[in-house]
Amino acid sequence: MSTLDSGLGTRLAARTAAVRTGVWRVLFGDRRGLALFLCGLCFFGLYWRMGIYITDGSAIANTLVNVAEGRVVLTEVPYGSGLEAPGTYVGTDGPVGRNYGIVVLAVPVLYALQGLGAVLDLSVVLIGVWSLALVGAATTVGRLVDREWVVVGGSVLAVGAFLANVAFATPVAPSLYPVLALQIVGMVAAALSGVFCYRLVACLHGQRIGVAAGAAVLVATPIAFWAALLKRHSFTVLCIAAALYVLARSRTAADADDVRRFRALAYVPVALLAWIHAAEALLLFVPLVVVDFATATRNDRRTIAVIAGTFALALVPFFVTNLLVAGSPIQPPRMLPSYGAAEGLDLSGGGGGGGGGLLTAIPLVGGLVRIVTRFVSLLAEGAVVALTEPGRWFRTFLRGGYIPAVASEDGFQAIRLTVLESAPILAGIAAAPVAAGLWVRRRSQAELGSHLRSPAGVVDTVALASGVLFVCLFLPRLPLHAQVTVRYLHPLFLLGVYGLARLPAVRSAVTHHWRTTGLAYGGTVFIGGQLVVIALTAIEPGLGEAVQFHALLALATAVVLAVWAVARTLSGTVPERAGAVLLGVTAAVGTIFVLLSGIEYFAYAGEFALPVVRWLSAALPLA
Amino acid sequence: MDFASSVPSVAAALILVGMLASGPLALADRPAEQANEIGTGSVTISEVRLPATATLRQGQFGEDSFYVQVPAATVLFDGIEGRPILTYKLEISALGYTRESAFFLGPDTGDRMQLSLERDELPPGDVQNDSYAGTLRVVDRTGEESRVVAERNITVEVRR
Repeated sequence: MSTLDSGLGTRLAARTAAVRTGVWRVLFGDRRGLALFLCGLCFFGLYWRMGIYITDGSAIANTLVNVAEGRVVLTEVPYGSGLEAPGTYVGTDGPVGRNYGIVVLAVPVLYALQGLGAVLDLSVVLIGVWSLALVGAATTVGRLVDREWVVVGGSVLAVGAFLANVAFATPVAPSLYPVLALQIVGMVAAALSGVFCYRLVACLHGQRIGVAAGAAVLVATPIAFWAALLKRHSFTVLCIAAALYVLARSRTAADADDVRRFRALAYVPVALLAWIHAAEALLLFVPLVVVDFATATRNDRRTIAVIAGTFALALVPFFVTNLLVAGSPIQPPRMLPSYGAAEGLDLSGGGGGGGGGLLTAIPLVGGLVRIVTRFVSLLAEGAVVALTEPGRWFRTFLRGGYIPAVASEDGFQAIRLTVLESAPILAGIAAAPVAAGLWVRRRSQAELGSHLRSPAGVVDTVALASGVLFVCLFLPRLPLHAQVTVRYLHPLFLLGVYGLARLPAVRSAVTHHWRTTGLAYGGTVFIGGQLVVIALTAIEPGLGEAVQFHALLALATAVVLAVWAVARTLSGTVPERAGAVLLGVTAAVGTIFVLLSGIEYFAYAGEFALPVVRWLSAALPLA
Repeated sequence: MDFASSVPSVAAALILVGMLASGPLALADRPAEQANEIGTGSVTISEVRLPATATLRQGQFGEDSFYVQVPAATVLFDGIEGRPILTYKLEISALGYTRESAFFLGPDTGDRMQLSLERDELPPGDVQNDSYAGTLRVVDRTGEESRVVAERNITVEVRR
């Protein structure tokens, strides 16, 4: 991508890039992308617990077991409460699961694990792969910043970590392999979300802020929390990040062929998201298609044909899966009636639609109309709730605390954070309305129009609209138990970091004082993290207390960041360096929660993949 | 630069060799099966020290639930045969609350053991009084029949 940015010989560079396009280039873009990816994987590995964290994970693991043996119907259900596990539905030929898109990605990983596990000790293999990722991360980062000691130190550390972990390794039961396969693809998806966030921001504003944004997504938000926890949310975030990035490329590309190609490619992640969660895909698709066509310089027949063709082709797996599962290509699993009685955690929307026989009888068009009507009514309901219930906003976005109805489902524990409590760095967004207001006031209507057509304007509009739709769809269900970090609104963490990077005050603080930000981040994680551990050790908190302690800590830092961001946007006299520090500190507060929750508070999710962390977890006297 | 560029390759090679070696080594390292079945045998207890109070402490920082906090009990053994089971149990009948944790004894147990109860949470609406009467028990659950080894009526103090 960096080659594309340089003015001279763009066309030639684009051709060269096209020739060199391989999986590597498509996924990572450049060495910075690769470095972020490997660092993300190493970070997630630190608190990777091999097991199922919330009951929803059982259904997807059950689905994988069956798909790996070549059938969509669930005949073998080893996990959770079997067919009663939430996320199991009544298909045409029997019980079926959901998230087939994720499951299909996990199948080759499962085969690889089974193969490796047959001849080697799989626990050692996992430790080895993590250590190799660490060697790769250290080498890539060290060469990027041209510091030999990073390369050498990281490699030595990796070998040391490998030996130390292998010394305590215990065998992994083969019954856990499907769970591991899903966790691995989940972590890869989460790591790639950071990579695509980097590429998106770098494409608009340069590499330094791009790397900062990508890193923030990877370590300072709940995307890290859920990376290995067997939920779809990492994939949703990845698809949105990829779609926005490709959309940005379609607006920065120089020649018409590239524009067309990138526009068409932007719809591929949307189609893949439909395969995983159709409703969420619609929340991305609608803003994308409207804004894309409204702002494109050309919407000729050929372009439309290419876009429609690409989208249709990318939807093939979705259609085929639905056909096999529900007997209708447009009916995703979630619209089928639930198999178990205990449902209520997910957006099934359906359930009242009767048996499979009736559903197949409805003609395709009628079915589509029905889906669209239901969907629009859900969104409208959400919009009404959003406008009329400020308390819900407050308890979802700002301060949660103890909510009796929610806590009663969470074991009477206040283990639910709000968006801001789980990612205090997003407080900077408080300056967005101010910045937008100032910007609009200083410009004419014509300039506004041309901005909306600019690459940043186009991505902003899609990101904002998609974020609003996610809120509309899910807010009526929130606050809810088993969320921990408002995972239904997971995409907001990506979109929020993107929004931060778009704020001039934040961007210039990070670009000018990136060392300060880095030092503030590192200092807070390593020193502040220890202070948090000491404070909590003195308090001897219960789980809910510990989580709420982090919530208050996050809010305290978030308020300061919000004040700075607004003040700095209004006045150039406010010191920029203070913002650089605050961004580092709020990011670190997010990291500390992710690490301590993974290593300590929610350690019960399974055995640690890195056995040394098990020892650390036992040594910490918390929760 | 030469040195630095060869280090990652060497490190990667070492890790790969380690991974490959794990196959044969894992075969040699199978853990031995436990000979004795859990829950059989017997235990002779010389003394049980039970705490006099427990607390219901309300959480801080916005956590409103009450934590049931019970100090550990100490059990001194005269002898252990086989793999017997002891449990430590708190009952607060006014709240309809019981909690019992099991402890598995064996040849490695030694001559004393601390029995502790995990912290439980009670919803804020349930706890109305300033204190409750509770009963602590240590129960021998080895074999078919259970036997109360020690029992003490305690005061459960509520701290808000």
